[in-house]
Amino acid sequence: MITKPELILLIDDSDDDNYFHQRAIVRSGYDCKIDVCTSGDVAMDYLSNQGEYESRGTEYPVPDLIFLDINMPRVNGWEFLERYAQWVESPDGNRAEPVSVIIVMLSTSLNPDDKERASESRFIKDYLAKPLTSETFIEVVNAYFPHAIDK
Amino acid sequence: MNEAPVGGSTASARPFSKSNLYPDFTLTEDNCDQEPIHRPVAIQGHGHMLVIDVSARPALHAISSELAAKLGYTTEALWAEPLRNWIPESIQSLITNSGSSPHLPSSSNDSISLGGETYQLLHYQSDGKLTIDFEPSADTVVDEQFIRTAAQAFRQINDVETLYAQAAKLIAEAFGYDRVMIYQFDHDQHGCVVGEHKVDTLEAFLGLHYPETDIPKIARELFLKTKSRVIPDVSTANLVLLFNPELGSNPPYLDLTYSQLRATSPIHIQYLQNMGVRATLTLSIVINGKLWGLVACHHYVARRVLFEHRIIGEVVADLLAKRIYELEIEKNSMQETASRAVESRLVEQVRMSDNYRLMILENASMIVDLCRADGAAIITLDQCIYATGLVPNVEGLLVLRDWLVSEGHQEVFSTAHFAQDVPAGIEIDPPIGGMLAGCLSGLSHSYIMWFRHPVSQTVEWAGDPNKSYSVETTQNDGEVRLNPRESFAKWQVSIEGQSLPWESSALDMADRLHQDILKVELRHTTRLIEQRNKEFMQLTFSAAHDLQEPLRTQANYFNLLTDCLEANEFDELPHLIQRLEKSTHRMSELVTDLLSYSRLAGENKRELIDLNGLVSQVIEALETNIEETQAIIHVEDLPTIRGDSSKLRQCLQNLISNAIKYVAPGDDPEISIYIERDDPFFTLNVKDNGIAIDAEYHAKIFTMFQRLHARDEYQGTGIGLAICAKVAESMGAEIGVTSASGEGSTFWLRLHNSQII
Repeated sequence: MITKPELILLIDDSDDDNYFHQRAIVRSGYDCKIDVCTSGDVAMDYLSNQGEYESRGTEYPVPDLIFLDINMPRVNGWEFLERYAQWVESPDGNRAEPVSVIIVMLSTSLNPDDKERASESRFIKDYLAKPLTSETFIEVVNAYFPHAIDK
Repeated sequence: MNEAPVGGSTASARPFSKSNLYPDFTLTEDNCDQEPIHRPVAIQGHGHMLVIDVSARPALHAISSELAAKLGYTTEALWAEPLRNWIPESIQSLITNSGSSPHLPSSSNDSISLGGETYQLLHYQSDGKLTIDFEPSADTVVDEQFIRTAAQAFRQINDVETLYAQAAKLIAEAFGYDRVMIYQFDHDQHGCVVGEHKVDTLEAFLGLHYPETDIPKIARELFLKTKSRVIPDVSTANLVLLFNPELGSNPPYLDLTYSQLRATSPIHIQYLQNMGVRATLTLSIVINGKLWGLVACHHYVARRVLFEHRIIGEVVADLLAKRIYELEIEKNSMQETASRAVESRLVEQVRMSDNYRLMILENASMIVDLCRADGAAIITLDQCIYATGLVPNVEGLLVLRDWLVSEGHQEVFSTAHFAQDVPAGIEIDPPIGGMLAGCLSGLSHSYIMWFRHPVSQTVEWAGDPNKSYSVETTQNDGEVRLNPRESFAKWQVSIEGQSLPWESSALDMADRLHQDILKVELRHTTRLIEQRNKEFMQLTFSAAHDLQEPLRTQANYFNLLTDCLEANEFDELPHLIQRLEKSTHRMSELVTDLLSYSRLAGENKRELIDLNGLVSQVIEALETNIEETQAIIHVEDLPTIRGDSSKLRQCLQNLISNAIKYVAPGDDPEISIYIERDDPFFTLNVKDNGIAIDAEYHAKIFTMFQRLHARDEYQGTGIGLAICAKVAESMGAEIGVTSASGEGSTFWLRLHNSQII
């Protein structure tokens, strides 16, 4: 059982949003490492240790919590989830078992279809409106990491 | 013209001249086509006529002027005398047997001798009147075997030209006329001699054309009814018909359509005399209930042909008609079957095709051939022009199209005389002789057109067709006389600038093809509208989304600003303000690009675009950008094409600025702009040395707001390539990209050759 999110991955192409979200997480008081990927394909490389992340070797950290944007260039949030699902079920993905990554979708929630679609995905734990604030981050941690130690 | 002789010797006879051949009809300049030639009150001078009213108790209705005397009476005496007291036995039995039903002319077995001449009695009954023609016997003989001979000969001939010539020869030999012509009516009722046989000394009329007025409508109607008509001697004076005084001074019209002796129109007599012809026999060629033409037999001395022999002539003319029909039908149906097969294959291909316009282009020569044209063009809803073979230049096509639209032609418009039927002021190059045009949509300005070359044609007329009559006003009573032309000398009219006339099969084909393509075009247009609607909805959504994004970002920064100011933390402020400015700038970029995109909806122009000049303008506009990035741009010699130059400029500007923008860090952009030919297409390429694009994104990048890179990696709104795609679509061009890792990308526009000037 993971007691607190030690590594958080932000998947978002907007530098501004990444700035807001990093700031909110830092200000929440939790001491976490935060990585950023600006598109779904980069994030897959990050998770599977390929592409620009290949040189990291086999020992690489799996994030405990992912905040996923929907609209991104090349591979958007939904396409990322498809690839993620394939990867998790592949022998390569199983290497990281148990994969218990919490994925929270962050959206500008303009499109009601997206919320519906998110609720149908087995990987998405939550669907929140941008921007992520310190308060909502703490709520997420409390909800999915009940034994997290508040600093 | 000679004064027509006064016929008859009795006091009650009306003085007769050609002007009162018809009661209550006076020829004027305008009504010569209405001359009631079926009801003259006179008969040809070689015979006699008796008309008995059999509707009640048989009574004498009318009698030709000299018959009473031949029978040994005066005409006055006959009016008062009961029929039985004076009528010859053979005629009495005709009256007794006449019954009440009408019948067509037939000969009676009895003949009658009057004044040393033997007459055959021919009778017909209509409108309650029994008409008896006394026709003198003749010594010419036509062998009944002739029917069999002709039938056999016709059967063995397999082309119409030989058939016409052979029929004329056989009939001339059997009937003994100096000249026999097979005369065919054209669609506009003028006629042409298509077969001829004549004695050697006569001038040939074969191939000559005769104006419609030579055989006016009323005469053609008579020929359709009577099947044969004989004039034994045009120089014999007419005999007037005398009507029973009890009928009053204006007796009812007596229709002489079926009389074998009906007096000939004085104009026609003059016409024949001007030609030197003295006797004629005319047989009708009737196909499908229509008067196809005539067998016209001319003799230069008087010539009689017996009724029975004329019937043989009618039968042979009928056999000829049947054989003409067979040969024409055979020829047409073979052609028809072949072209129908080609047509249905073509239509099926066009219907099934995703890009039916390209399919039409690929089959362009077939479309041209099906209508036996020299070229064809299609102008589509979006102003694209697809053309092949002989077509006017683009300006000409567009002006023509606008003219067709203004005329509101919904059916196929056809002309074989382009210069006359299409209004002056339309300068067409190259010269066009004939055109067919069909609208491809009720609403749009979309047309398919076929063109034919002008050809030099010579039509030989028998005399000047514009002077088929001369008009003369008599001194004494102001009456108008029409004189047929005196000269039948070959009159050549050369026709320039006209095409060969469009055959009815070509017209039918054009009609069917335009209907077929119209259906496909309608389906295509409907799909296009649906697609545009969908695109519009998506665009609205995406535009709102993409515009809201910088607004949302700004709101977030303002919140942070407020937080920082409230907490007296100032370190972050410069960063926040810089990001706010950037976000504002981005929003203004988005709005600018959206505006340029929306401008693409305007009408497409069809200008001449010198691509070399256009590319120079684009490079000039991007000058600062090029200097900053030290980009090198190679431009090969480019052609001049046709299109909307301001739209194409936007497209090229986007492609070139993309090529400059998307380079790997540290590289200098190097761009080549060149043409590749791949008949029937050519591509305009913009090749760069930039970062490659994965094949999976090649289609996606042309849709609105699709970006391949995070915003801060490469600047952009995601509208540029959508603009390029829209421009390509408006030009009927294909747009795409080829790219391989390490080799940069090549964006290309593929256009049809017909768009190169």
